[in-house]
Amino acid sequence: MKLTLAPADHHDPRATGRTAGKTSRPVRAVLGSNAVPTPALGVLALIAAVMSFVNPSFLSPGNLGAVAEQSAVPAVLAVGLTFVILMGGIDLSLEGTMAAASLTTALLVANDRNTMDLGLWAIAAGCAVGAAIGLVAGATVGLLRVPSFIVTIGTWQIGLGIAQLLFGDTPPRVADESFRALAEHRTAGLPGIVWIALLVVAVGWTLQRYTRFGRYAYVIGGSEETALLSGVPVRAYRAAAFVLAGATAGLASAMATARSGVGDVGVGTGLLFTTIAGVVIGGTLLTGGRGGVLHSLVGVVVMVAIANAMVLAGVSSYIQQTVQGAVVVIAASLTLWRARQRLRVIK
Amino acid sequence: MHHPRSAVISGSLTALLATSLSACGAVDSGSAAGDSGRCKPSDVTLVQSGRGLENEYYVAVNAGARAFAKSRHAHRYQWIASNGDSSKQLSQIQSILAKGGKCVVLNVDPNESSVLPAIVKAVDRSGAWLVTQWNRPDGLAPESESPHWVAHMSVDGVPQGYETAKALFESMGGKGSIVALQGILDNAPAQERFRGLKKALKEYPGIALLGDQTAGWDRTKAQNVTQTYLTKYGHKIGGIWAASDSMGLGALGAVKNAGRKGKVKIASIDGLAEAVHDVRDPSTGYVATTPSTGAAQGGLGMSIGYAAATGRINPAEEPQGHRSFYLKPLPVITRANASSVPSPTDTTKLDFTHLWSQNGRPIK
Repeated sequence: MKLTLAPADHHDPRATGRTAGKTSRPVRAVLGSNAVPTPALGVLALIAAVMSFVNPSFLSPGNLGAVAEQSAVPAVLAVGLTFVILMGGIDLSLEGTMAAASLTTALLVANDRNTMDLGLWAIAAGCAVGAAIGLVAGATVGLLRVPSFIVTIGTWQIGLGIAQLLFGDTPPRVADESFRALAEHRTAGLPGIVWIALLVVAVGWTLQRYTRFGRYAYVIGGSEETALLSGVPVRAYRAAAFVLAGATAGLASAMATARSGVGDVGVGTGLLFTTIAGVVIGGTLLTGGRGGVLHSLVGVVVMVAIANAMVLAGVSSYIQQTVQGAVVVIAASLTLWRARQRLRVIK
Repeated sequence: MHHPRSAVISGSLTALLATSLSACGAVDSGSAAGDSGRCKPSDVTLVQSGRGLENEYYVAVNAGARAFAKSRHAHRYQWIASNGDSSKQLSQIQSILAKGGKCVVLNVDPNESSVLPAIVKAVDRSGAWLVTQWNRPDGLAPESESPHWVAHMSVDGVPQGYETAKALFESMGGKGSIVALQGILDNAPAQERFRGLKKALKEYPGIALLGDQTAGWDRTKAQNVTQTYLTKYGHKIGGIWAASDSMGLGALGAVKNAGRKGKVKIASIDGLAEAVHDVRDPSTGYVATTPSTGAAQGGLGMSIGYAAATGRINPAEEPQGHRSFYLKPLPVITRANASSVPSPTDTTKLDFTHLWSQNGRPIK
């Protein structure tokens, strides 16, 4: 398999230089090691290569900006989710968390429903709502030892319920121009939400690499037993990961709300698929212990790029979903090939 | 007469049953077949079922149904939300039928057409009264299944698609290029609306359809697809037609971010308050939407079911055009009339005494 992966390695600098600039440093630092999402970058390069024949405008600055803008929200989601998955858990609640946070944010900035006008502080409130829902999940998983899969289905419904309570008759429309500007105003060619996403990724990467929380996430995911025996407070770290995932979902929701301009219960629709598929394609194992924030970022960009490329290539709507599904399966198989072999050795 | 069986089988099993039943077309006419209703108005329980009130359309449906309940001084009105879950919807209906029996009037928007046969069967067995909206499986119709399935009504998407497209093309001066955003592709209203667009395209040879994509009725997805279209076709795009307002509003977001607000015209369907608001404002480039049909579907659906339950009409004797029909097409909302459009939840114009006043063509 090393042979088939070699060309992918070859493409790396090009792909990273153009679409995922944040990854270029670790690529140079630890090329070929598991710390770099090499196969996912290969998939990205492959998409770029195919598209340069089909429709070269894929690589135009305008379109790369569009891909970056569309990746911003799922990328922020993926950062939080990565830590949960690294520890071997899963957070399915993000669409519900986003719904609650979207309504909260929209009702706290200047809007057409009430007289609130907290400005950008509403983003912090959105994060807090997300973190609170994450805390419910984290406490239940950590303290009561209930599997995260079922707990987060529950917190998903809690989030949706809160959002429905807040909804009223019509979606609250955001009137706060400084809040909308996060998505509309461009700095150095990219909208604010892209810069926020890059900042979140940088913070996430720092957490993962330089803090006890990040290191222990790998240990817990690799073998919870070992972690426990070594005296790692597994439950607390596990709960913290869910709080972080909730907070990032809240932030992502505020960003999506700034982009669409309304508080929307359906703000997260479809993002669970994009994000989890992105995390897995990036090379973070659902069983935990391997992967990372940058892997997830690249995976999410792959997912967004596929959707974008199909519109540019003029693929018929009728077969698009199938093509997208097939690409996901192929991309996941490619990225997880090495992991598959390792798994076999382990088990 | 049987008593309604209250055994509520596990949800997924019933959904499975529903599918297999529809395959056989085996919805038998129940024991109460042929009776017209003899419920006293004070005994009637009115039940409206739809997806959920986080959706503006269902807020309007609920408002219409509630207005009817109020006009009849019916105390027992209930809104039940399926939250997009067919088996939940079925079990909710079954437990209400178990309690209320023959004097339950249901106005149901089936979560998907495959759940409908099971609902019809449950209603038929308990002798209650059912009116349905939007979706039904092919070959299943009130007039052939059961007198207790009083009527099925829907909204004809073809004229909606056609009229909004025409308004869009006129605003573009009859020439230029557009892109289209479709709803969920296997969904009947989505297909009808797109057919309406295509019909209009034939009449305007100066307009070219550069491409169409589904955005699955979703605002964010529509914004992403439109953004990609704008990078693909750039200034060639003079107009965007969307099969729903939520997608049209997503497209407007993308147009705005691309700095082309006002230059790219947009038309869509559904009559969401925000879309109507944008149609009023010439700077948005939003040229047309359609009036909301939610309140009419809620209020009229309820009044037809109620008329059957109280014996005012005998469904078995009503003509086909009263049992399966489209609502009469309404004129589109453009800048000319946008300021006089009532709110989607305004129920003052609904006429509950003339049951068939809003009937358009029958559904074959």
